Amino acid sequence: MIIKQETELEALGREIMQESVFLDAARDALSSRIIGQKGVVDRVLIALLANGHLLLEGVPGLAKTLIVRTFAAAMDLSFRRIQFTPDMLPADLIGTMIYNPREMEFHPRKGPVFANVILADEINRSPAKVQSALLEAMQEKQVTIGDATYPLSEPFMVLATQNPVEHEGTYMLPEAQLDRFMMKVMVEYPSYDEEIEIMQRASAFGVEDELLPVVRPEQIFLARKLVDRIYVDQRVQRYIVDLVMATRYPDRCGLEDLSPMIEYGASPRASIFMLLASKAHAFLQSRPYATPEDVKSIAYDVLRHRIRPSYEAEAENLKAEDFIRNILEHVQVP
Amino acid sequence: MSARYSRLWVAVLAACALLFAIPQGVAGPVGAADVTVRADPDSLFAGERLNYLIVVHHDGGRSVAVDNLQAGPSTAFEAVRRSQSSKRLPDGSVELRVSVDLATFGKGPQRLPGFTVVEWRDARSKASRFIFRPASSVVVMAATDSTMTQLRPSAPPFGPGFLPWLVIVPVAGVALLLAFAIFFLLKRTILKNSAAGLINPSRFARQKLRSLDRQLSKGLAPAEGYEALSNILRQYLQYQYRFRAMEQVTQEIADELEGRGVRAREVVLKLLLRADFIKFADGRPDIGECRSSLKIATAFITGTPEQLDALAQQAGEAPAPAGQPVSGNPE
Repeated sequence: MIIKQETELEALGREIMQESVFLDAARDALSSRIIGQKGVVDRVLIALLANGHLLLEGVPGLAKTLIVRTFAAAMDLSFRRIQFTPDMLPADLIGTMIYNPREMEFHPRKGPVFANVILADEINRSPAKVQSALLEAMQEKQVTIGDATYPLSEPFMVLATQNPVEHEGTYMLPEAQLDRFMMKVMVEYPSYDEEIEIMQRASAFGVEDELLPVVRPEQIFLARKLVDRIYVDQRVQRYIVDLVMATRYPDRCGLEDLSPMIEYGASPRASIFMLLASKAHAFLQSRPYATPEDVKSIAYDVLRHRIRPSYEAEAENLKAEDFIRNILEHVQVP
Repeated sequence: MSARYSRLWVAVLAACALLFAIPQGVAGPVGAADVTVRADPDSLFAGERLNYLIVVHHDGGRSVAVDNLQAGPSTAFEAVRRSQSSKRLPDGSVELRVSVDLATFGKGPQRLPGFTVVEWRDARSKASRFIFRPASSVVVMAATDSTMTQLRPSAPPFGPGFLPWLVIVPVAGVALLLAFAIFFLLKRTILKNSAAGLINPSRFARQKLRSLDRQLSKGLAPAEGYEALSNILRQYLQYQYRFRAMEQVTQEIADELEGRGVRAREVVLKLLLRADFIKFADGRPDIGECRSSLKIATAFITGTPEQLDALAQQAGEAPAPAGQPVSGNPE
C-alpha cells in the first residue's frame, strides 16, 4: 500500500517511532559485546528488516562470527552455525533420510539449515554443490529431503562469512549465487581506540554474562510490515534504476571510460534489493519515506558483489567499489 | 722616334701573346738538359686535379730521371698519379715526359711544385742532381674550407641545397608540434574559463528564480515549484562553490558547505530538506510557503556578506569565527 497523503505519512512516522524502539535495544545488546563495527551491525539489521541475506567478507579475526552469534542471541531466534569445509556434503547441510530398523521406515533427519538464523561460516571453503544447496534454501525458503518438502522457519536469515578469495583454500562463489545475497558487507579493521578496548576486554578474566534476548520475533514481523509501507517516491525509484543501469551502460551517463572496465553490471535483483534496503534504512532513521540518501547509503553494499570488473580493470587494480563511487558521483540525484 | 717606339710596343705585345699562348709553360736548362713544365688547367677549385707535365730533353748520352717531386715547403699539392715515358728523337736526342696528377688544396695562387732532375752517364759515374723550381703558379679557388686536406669527391653526394633542409625540416616539425600543443592548451583553457569563469552563477540563478516566480504566478503547482527551486539552488552551489552538488544528496551538500565555511548554509539546508520532504514524501506545500522559500533563496544568492550574516542569525547559525572568510555573493 502506498501512502500519498502527508498526514498519513506522518501517522506512519509516528508508528515507526513507536515500533522501532526495539532496534535501539538490539543495538545496545550488540554493542555490549561488539566493539565498533557499527556499520556492519546496521547492515545486519537492514537485512533482517528487509528479509534479505547477508554476506560478510573480511580477513579472519574481525568478529564476523561474533556479530552473527550475538545478533541471533539478542533476537531470541534459533541459531545454527555451520562451518563450511572442503569435504562437506549437501546432506550435512539440509539433512537426509535415516532408516529406522524398528519401524522399518526411512525418517527424515533435518539438517542445521532448519533454524531462524544460519551462520554459514567461511562459505567459500566449500565446493559449489554445498553452496548451491544452501542458496537454494535461501531462495525457496524450503528444503526437500527425500520425497517431502519442508518449509523453513520464519524469519529465516542466512548470514554468511567469507575470507577474501585471495586466501588459500577458498572457492569463489558463483555469480548467480552471490546475486541471492541482498548485501555484501566488507568488515574492516577496528580503529586504534576500538582495538585497545577489544584488547582490554578480551584479556579481562571472568565469565561474561549471558546475553538475554531483547527482541521478540513478532516485533520483527511487525517492523517488516512497517518497512513495507514506507513510501518511495517515483523519483527515488528512478534514481535506483539510473544507478543500476549505469553499472550496465556506463557510457549513457557520460562514463565512457568505465565501459571496457565492467564485464557485466548489476542484475534486476539489484534494483529490487536496493529498493528494499533503502526502505529498511529509512526505517532505521525512523523516517516514513525513503530518500536518495538512503539509496546512496546502501548502494555500495548492494552493488559491490553484482558488478564484475573486466580483465582490463583487474590489470589496473580497479575494484567494483571504484566503479560504484564513480557512478554515484556522476548520476544526478533527483 | 715614334716608329721606333711603335716597333718596341709590337715586340712587347708579341712576347706577351707568346707567353699567354703557352699558359703555365716554363722552360729552362737544368744541367745538360732542357726542362719544360706545363700545368693544366691554370685555375681550379680546391680538391680538383691538376695535370702537371714535366718534359726533360737531353742529348741521349746520359741517363736522366725526375725525382723528389714537391721538394719545396708547399703543401698545396698532393701527387695522386704519376706516369712517365721517354723517346729518342730523330736527331738522336732523348725526350723524357713525366705526367703527374696533383690534387690541389689551399686558396689563391699556388706556386707549382719543384722537383729534382738526376743525371748520370753510367753506373760507375757519380750522379748530378739539380733542383728545378718553376716560377709560375696556378690559381686555386676555395669552394670549400681552405683547411681541407682531403680529396674532393668526383661528384658531391648531395645537391648543394640539401644541407640547409637537414636543419630546416626538424626545426619546422618541432615548431609545428609546439604550435599544436599550444593550440590545444589554449582551447582547453578557453573552454574551461567559458564554462566556469565567464558564467556568473549568481546572475544565472537569479534569472531562473525570477522565471520560477513568473511560472508560479501563472499557476505552477507549489510542489513542482519546490522541486525547481531545489534544482536551482543545487546548480548555483555547484558553479559558485565548485563541487558536484547536482550529484550529491543534502547531507553531502551540507558537509561541503561546512567545509567551505559558507555563511547562511543552514538557511540553504533548511530549504533543501524541505524540498526533499516535498519531493520524496509527496508533501503538499501552499503557494505562500513556496514564495517565501523563493525569497529566502534569492536573499542567499544575492546577499552581501553582511546580509548573509543577518540571514544566518535568523536561522540560528553560529557566527563565523574571526578571520574566517565569509562567502557573499555580490554582483
